[in-house]
Amino acid sequence: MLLEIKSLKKKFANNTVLKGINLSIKAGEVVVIIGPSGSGKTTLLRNINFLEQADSGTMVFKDKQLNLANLSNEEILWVRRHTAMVFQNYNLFKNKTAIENISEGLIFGQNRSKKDALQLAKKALDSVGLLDKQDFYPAQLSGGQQQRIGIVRATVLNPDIVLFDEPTSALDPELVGTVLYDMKQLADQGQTMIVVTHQMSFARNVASRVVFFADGEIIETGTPSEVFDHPKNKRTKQFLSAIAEDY
Amino acid sequence: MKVSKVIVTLLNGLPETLSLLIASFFFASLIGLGMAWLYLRKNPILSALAKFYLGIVRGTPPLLMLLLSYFGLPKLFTLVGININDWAKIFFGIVGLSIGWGAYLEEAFRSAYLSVDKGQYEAALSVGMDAKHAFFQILMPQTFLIALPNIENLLIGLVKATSLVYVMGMVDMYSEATDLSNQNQGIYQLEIFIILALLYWLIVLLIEWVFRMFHRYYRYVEI
Amino acid sequence: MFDSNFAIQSFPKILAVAPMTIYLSIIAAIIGLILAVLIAVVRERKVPVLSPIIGIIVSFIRGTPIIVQMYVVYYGLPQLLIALQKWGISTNSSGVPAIMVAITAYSLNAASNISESIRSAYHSVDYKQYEAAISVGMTPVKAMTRIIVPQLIANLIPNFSNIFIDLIKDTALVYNIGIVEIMAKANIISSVGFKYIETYLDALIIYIIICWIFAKLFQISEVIIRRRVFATQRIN
Ligand SMILES: Nc1ncnc2c1ncn2[C@@H]1O[C@H](COP(=O)(O)OP(=O)(O)OP(=O)(O)O)[C@@H](O)[C@H]1O
Ligand SMILES: [Mg+2]
Repeated sequence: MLLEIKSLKKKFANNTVLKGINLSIKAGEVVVIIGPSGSGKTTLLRNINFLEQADSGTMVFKDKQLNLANLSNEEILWVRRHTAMVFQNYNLFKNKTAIENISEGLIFGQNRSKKDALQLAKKALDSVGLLDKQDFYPAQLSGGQQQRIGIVRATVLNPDIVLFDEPTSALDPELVGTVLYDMKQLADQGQTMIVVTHQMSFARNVASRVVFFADGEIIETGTPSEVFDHPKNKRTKQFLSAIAEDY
Repeated sequence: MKVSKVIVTLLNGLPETLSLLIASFFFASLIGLGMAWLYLRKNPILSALAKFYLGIVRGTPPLLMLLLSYFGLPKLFTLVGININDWAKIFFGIVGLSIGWGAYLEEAFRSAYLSVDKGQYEAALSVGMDAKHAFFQILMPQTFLIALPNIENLLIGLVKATSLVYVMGMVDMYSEATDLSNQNQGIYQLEIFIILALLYWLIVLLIEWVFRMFHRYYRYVEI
Repeated sequence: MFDSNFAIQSFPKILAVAPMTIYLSIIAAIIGLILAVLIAVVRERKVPVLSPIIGIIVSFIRGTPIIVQMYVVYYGLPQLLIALQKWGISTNSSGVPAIMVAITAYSLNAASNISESIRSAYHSVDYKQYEAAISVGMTPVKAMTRIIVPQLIANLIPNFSNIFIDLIKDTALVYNIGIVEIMAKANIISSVGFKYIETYLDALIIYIIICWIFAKLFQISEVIIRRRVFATQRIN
């Protein structure tokens, strides 16, 4: 196992958002998390790279045992440097150009020289066909371009896991495909990913495993065809019929 | 009396005006940054102190700030046995203006910092930056850009406030003008003050131009 | 060292002239506000010739110290009145009272600052609101007065409050032309015994209290106006 989360609990004030999550992920897996709004999907992702700190639980990541309630700064930094995140609203650094957005983590997270970092960033940008945008600031780019650069910014770091939080839900419909295409490429290259999304066709076609999440709990998990075609749990069925989409 | 002579005379005071402006702005910025930092540390006592300081300064005429610095500081220092009565007047001018503008800058920095999108910081952490780098690479530059219009206004306000150091007998542009107008005993006084006004306006226009250039340079950074 | 008895004795004497400071600030703010509305209309409508000229004057006033402006008016106003006499307009140029000079200078100063605030408050009102008002059949004038102006006023108050408080503080300079307000009184009392710090601290306390009271009044009025503006809109 690359990542093993055990009984992760998280509360905001008196609102218990994660009620003891157990989740294991093997290297190379693409785990897609689906579930209703407000069920705690974002919170779960943010607890994995410690943008949010859990109240209790343990995590084994790359064979390292971590107590989630009591993390040292070194542990936090170490996990963040081996994971990466793609945000719903991109969160590209607004004061940095496209290429700087990508090189920033290489320079300040991985201590590479500026020259190396820029070279790597350039290559990565070229691989998604956005090299001509290297000197553009985020405000000069379309949402789709920003998110694809957001993905490059994450993957250029060569992380063990990339966390995607609804990467396409802020995009215009015609741009969604371009981003999903890049994500599929990554999956095909064997990148381990956890993806929160409402794009059921992506879940069906790309996921190695689908996790249905509701009310801060994992309700059901299985292969796409298990979850989509033969859901066992009543709530999964309800959810799937409610979104009533062709998938 | 020729216009050129008036201009030359008034410009004699320009170095004093400019050194006062630059030094006061520098120290005010330091105070502002320090106070903003204290304020944001979420220590209730320190925040209360910073709030109190801002509250006092908001209601204090700059003229009074200068007078209190000029007359009050030497008294305060004699309490601890140091005699600063003979220190250069510009020192008291800089202290008075820095204390006042420090409070205003503190407010500008703090509100700008608080309005930086939280996602920017999280994104920085997510690519593996530590808190220090996230601050210096991402938060601080964005804070600065957001604060820029306020900083510009405060700098322009400070230019105008430097004219008040006449109360402690410093010879800046304004004092040169009043001296000249007194010497002439009632003639050309209007002209002298109009020229003086034009000189201040020129400095302000120059500052506005610099900020405009800066703004243009960062026009694609939408924060 | 510090004569606290003297400070306490002086306090009521200085406080007694505080009405002058307040009076001057309020008059200048009222005249300034009226002028500012006119300026803002001229500039927003881009009235040819007039708009750019006023733009330059506003920039000039905003770029110069108030004390310099005061002296320009002090020396300039009598000359202007003489010039007007030559054109056949009857004026009395001899001995323009100091208070006239101060009111003129401070009103013009306030007008420039307020006009810029009005314009930015106007720009911050969502234009779609105007379009929506027109689309439901309001006349443009009605849309303006019923939809735009109330929102504009709500947006304007915080800036207006700051300008007003700056005015109060700036009036500390009119002692230069012989008007007796807080600062002048502090100077006069001090000059007898050369005890400056005492009266200046008195003055400081009075200014801080006055500014604080007005800041609070504006805050309260903003809350009231916002409630009204948004309440009436809901009812409509
Ligand atoms: N910082 C926070 N402080 C307080 N409550 C929070 C915070 N973040 C999330 N919550 C609460 O936690 C619950 C789960 O939120 P979360 O964002 O994880 O849901 P989600 O499954 O990602 O929903 P969506 O599909 O709408 O993105 C919600 O009830 C939310 O109000
Ligand atoms: Mg979410």
